[in-house]
Amino acid sequence: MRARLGFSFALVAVYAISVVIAPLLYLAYYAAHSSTGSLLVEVLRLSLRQSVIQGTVSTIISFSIGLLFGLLLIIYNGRMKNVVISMLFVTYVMPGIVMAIGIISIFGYSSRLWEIIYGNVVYNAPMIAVLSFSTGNSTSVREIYSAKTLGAKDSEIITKFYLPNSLRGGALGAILTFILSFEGFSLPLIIGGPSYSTMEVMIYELKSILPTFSQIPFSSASLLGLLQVVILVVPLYVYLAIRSSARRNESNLPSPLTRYSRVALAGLVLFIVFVMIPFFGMFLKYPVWLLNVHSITARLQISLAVLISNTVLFSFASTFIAFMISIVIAVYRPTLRNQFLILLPLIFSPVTLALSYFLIYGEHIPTSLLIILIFTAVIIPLNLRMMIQSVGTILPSESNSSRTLGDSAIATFFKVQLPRIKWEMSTVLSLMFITVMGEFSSIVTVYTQSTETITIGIYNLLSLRDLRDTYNLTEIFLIVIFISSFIINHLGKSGAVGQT
Amino acid sequence: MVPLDKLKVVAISKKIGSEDILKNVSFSLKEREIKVILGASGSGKTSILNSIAGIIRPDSGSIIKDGKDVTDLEIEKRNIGFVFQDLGLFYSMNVAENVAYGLRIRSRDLHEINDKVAEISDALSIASHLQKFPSQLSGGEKQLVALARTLITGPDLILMDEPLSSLDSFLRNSMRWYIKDIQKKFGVSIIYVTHDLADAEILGDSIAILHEGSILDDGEKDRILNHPKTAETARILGYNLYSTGGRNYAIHPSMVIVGGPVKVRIVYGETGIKHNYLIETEFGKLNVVTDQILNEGDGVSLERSIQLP
Repeated sequence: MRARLGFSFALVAVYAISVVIAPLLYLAYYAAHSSTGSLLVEVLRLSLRQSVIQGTVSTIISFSIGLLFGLLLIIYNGRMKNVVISMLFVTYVMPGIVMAIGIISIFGYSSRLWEIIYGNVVYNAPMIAVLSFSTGNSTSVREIYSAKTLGAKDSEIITKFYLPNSLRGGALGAILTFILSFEGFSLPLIIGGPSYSTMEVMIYELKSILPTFSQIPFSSASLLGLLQVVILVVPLYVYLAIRSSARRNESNLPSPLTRYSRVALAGLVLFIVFVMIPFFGMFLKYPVWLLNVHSITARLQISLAVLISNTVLFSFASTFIAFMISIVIAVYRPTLRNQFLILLPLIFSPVTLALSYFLIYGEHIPTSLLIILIFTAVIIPLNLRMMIQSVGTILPSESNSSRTLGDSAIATFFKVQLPRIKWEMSTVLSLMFITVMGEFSSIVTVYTQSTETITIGIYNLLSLRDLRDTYNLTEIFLIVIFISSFIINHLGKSGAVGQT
Repeated sequence: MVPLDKLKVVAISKKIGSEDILKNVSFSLKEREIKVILGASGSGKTSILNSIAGIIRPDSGSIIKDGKDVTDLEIEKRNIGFVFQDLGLFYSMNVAENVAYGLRIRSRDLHEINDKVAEISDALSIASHLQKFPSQLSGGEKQLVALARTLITGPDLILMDEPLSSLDSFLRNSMRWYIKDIQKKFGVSIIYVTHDLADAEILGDSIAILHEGSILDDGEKDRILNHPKTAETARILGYNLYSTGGRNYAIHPSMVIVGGPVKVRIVYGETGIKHNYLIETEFGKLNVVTDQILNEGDGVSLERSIQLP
């Protein structure tokens, strides 16, 4: 048993060193060699200012809107509930570059701060709404009926019972919104322009466009990357420390606020229209059947088939590797006291992660492998967290039974636990796959022409101001995402499900 | 030659946070014996079983099985069966797959697996349920599947963690006899933990009384039930406690004899299968369970009281 403890520790130590500590050390080494001239200080000041403004304003607005619609989700109690939640979820998993293209399709090239904020809100408010709903909905219905029998009005039911519980999930979402908006990349890069460059955008530009800004290449980018890590480590710690697990509400009593269900649905439909506008915009403006493959190939000097195969290959490989690593860590995790170590890669923004991995491995491995490595590190924390949460829903006695009957921990996971969480895992796999397919900020930092993916293709077409091809390729991309995630989801759920 | 104990738990202690959940716990289990560990909720019963199975590691002390120290051995290498409180059935597998699981991971021949599954499912009367999933079974059927799954691998001993606690009283009673019968048939040693005195009375060959992480008393069933050594043990076994002449006594409610020198005032009286009374005497309030009717002002005898040290 002690040997197992040692093995677990060794596993996590290798993981932490290779994925987090070594990249951090490299960043620190390069950052220490940057020249701290007045120009760099000005770049830092302006980008930090934009990150803070965009992060703060987006968080406040997203939180207000998300919390309101989270409460409407609690109040609405009709058949469409799952459809509404799924539609809100769809916007959250859409790649940032798609959101940026969608906004341009509506407002054109205008480079205005409020468009970035709008994009951030559309992207994050649904996530806050769903999180607020999940914790708010765990409010005990029996408690509410007790309050009603004591004379509580409906408004008091909302403010005294549902709202405090919703705030837990909402606060979690708000912190995540701040982190994601602070390190915003696609929106400020594509629709913001130089005046609205966040730190994340500046790291990319200092690495890819101005690598020799300092005497040692990439040192200025490393300095910004390191500073961003330091700034975000506190909100990230708070995010990880907040426990937002929602209790399942087992009561069979009817919902106490059913009479407002129709009003709530009307509000939710408006919300969905608000968040879906950017996606509908481009499909209406540039229908997919106007696609001209030859034009795209000629513009990008690379075939559409290569773009798609690169995207699918990188996504599949990194999803598979991340999934397997997550399994090994999840199986041996119970001996760990602190999950924080496992989730440490979250402290890197995708661009900082790509930069640090480029510094360590860039010269030693092919770019395609580097991209797979970066994608893997991007999705491991998400995958691990969801896997650990799913495994936690299974009674420990099931896995303990398997162990006492003579099976090893890892075999127990595959034979007993995985079949029980295969629905959740299919969803997680699809999510990871969509996330890495849409990953843009990290790959744009390290790609070469032979490793271009669809997101890079979209960005390059946009840079050439070829809007029709840009929109058509984005639409093709959405279709590829849909088909791929459907296949993964379907494969994961195939076979005997058993009875639960 | 003196036969070895099947299992010896030697002075195990376990601390979680600042709380001592097990304090220097020692006892032994003989071959083909059922030892019942009786204690209230939170007394540390499950922690003892988890320590024996290897699910948790005691901070100190050792677990000796068949003369070998297994304290640091991996769970899967101990060959100790475990029927959990919630049974731990595999809900993604049907009954046949659940029962066969232990043999499959031992890479037994398919014919052997099928034969043994058929044999044990006949013995435990679950043959008609083999293709069902756990969620399609009743509480009693689930118990039998959990037992079959444990027995089929031929464990050196079986740990049972209040497996009957979720059953209704009728089924619980019949399942007790069923477990007793199965244990005789298979000749397996069992450690059974419970808070239910009836489990101890029917199942136990020996009983250990657990209180706040410590074993208060351990011995043959008759001795423990009829001659508790301490007041705390007597209280856990449902005895009335009283003092007189500077000495402490205990008497079981069923041992109070109607008709005797001690005058009573009846505080409450209820008639069920037997007559149940709460009476007030010169020695304080006492519970009485008797076949006879007790009236206000009648006397009782406490001569069958046990003197406590």
